[in-house]
Amino acid sequence: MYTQRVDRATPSCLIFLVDQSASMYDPMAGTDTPKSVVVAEQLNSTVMELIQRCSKSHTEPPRPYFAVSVVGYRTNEHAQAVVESCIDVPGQQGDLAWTTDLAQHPLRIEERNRQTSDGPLSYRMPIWVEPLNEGGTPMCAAMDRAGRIAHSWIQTYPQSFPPIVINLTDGESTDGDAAVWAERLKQLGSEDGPLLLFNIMLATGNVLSPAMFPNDPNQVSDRFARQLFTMSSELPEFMRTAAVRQGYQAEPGARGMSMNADFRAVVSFLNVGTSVGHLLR
Amino acid sequence: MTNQPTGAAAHQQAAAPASDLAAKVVLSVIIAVVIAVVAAISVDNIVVVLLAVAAGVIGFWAIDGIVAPSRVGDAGPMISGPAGTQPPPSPTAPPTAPSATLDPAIFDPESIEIASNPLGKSRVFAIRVAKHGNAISECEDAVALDPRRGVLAVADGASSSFGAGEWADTLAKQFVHSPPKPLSVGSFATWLGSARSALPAPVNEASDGPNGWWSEQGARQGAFSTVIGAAIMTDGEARVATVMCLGDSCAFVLTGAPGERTVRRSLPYEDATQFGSHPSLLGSMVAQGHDEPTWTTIPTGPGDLLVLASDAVSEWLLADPKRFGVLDGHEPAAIANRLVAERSDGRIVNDDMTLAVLELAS
Repeated sequence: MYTQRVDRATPSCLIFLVDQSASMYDPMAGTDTPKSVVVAEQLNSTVMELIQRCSKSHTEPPRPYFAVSVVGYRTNEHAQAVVESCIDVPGQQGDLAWTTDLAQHPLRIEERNRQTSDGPLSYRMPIWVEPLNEGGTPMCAAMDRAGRIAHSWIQTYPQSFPPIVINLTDGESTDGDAAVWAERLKQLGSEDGPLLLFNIMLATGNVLSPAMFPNDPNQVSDRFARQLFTMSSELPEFMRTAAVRQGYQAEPGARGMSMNADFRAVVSFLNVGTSVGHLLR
Repeated sequence: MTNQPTGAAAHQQAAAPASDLAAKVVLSVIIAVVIAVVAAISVDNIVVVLLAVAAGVIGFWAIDGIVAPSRVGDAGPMISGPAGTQPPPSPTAPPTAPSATLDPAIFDPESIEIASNPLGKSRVFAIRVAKHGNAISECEDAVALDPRRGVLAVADGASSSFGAGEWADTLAKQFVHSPPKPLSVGSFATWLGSARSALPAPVNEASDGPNGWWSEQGARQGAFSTVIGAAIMTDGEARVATVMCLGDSCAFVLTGAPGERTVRRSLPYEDATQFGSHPSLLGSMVAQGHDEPTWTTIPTGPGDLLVLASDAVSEWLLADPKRFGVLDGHEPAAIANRLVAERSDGRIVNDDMTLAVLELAS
């Protein structure tokens, strides 16, 4: 299980579910920046990193090793669920866009600078996902959508690494019991193993240290956190190793969940949850 | 699409050995006559004349069968081309070897490249097969050979790096063109510097376009590759294989009669369980520093096989030593068929597969 390599014949599917409710405008723990902005920024970085893994030379565009979906969920002024793709590129198939198409069609490319040990470095940062925050948290509808995407994917690529679904939220579902939908989602799977569902609960303001990759529900504090634990898949061994390399005490049986996540936790969580790169040969 | 030679190509393959023979006979006669005339003019002794004629003819025929020991010289060309167009089989190939072509049922003809040595009697060939689903132009393994000098190299570019195929190709060619010296301090660093300089400029016009951002960022990270190279050298009366090794591509020396060969030496690994996911790699950027390679000298005997292989093929061979038999007496296409079949059956991981084989002259 969870050993399939990622290549053209057996590409990998990554689905990000993004809470776009009004509370996502509150500042991210440890920053002055709205959670929605931090999440959009980190998703753009993640997509960029995935594309980089598919870039082989300057004589060809990045290869279609990953199909990526970013699905936002919120409610409108009539309290109706709005679940829609946050990315829109030519060649997109439903909610899924290939790394090849994503690379060539960002919304825009921003010129940026960062400090390195060799001095300031200017680089170009492509943008696909914009922040949005409005209404409630229809998480059940979002998981339903993820299930449809994943089901269709598995029909086409039964031998591939199973789809990975990463849900980024800052609150409880407002349209029902998300645990029920999570269970349905996790019953999907490819020949290489069951679908992986990871959940990250973003924190607002100053919080205690986040709970990352716990392997025991008693390690988390409240009812909601325990529900999130149940909803989240166990990390495959190579992801658990990746978590340990990031400096977390991910014990055997660690779940792909984070409670009270601050900025650093979001970055690490996305790195671990998308670390299918070592299967890329 | 099949790879059967058609019409003129098939005719050419059948006719080639005969025309070789005719050319040799004509050349031998010319050499003998010239030597005889010169000897007759200068020496009035019929025994000397006859000896000179015999020496000329024997010398000409013997020259062709020797793989020259390593020396500075021009790189001998390897004829390479798409499957099915390889040159005629070597006259020393066992007569029982089946006439193999690539099996179209299992092969994507765009995924393979076979190179054979059209010169001389020594069997020298290289096979490169791209991973399933890729074209040969996307293969990140590289191979280079100079059959005349007995120098060959295989490099395996790391897929997760940018420009890995080009970097592997540069390393393999650089080794064959001018290998570093085994016992010379700093020789490897100088050699690596030359390889890094020889790599085409990483950023080209594509990255200046609005959509070339990935190229720009990839080029900053550089490429990584393993490399293994070997040269046949003389050590007194004996010939030895001097092998430079960095990473998990392997070298093997097989000894014994065809059909009964055993592995005389296998390095850097001797067992399939030794392969891991983090082999030593050479980076294409100066700032990346480098590991030092290991150097090993392996005695060789007439008829031995010197084999270099990238990791997937090496692991498969080492997992069951009987598999080395596939290298014995079979045509390159037959070996390629077997490798792809083994990969399709899951016994070789879906990776690029590269093999270079040099048979030392008997």
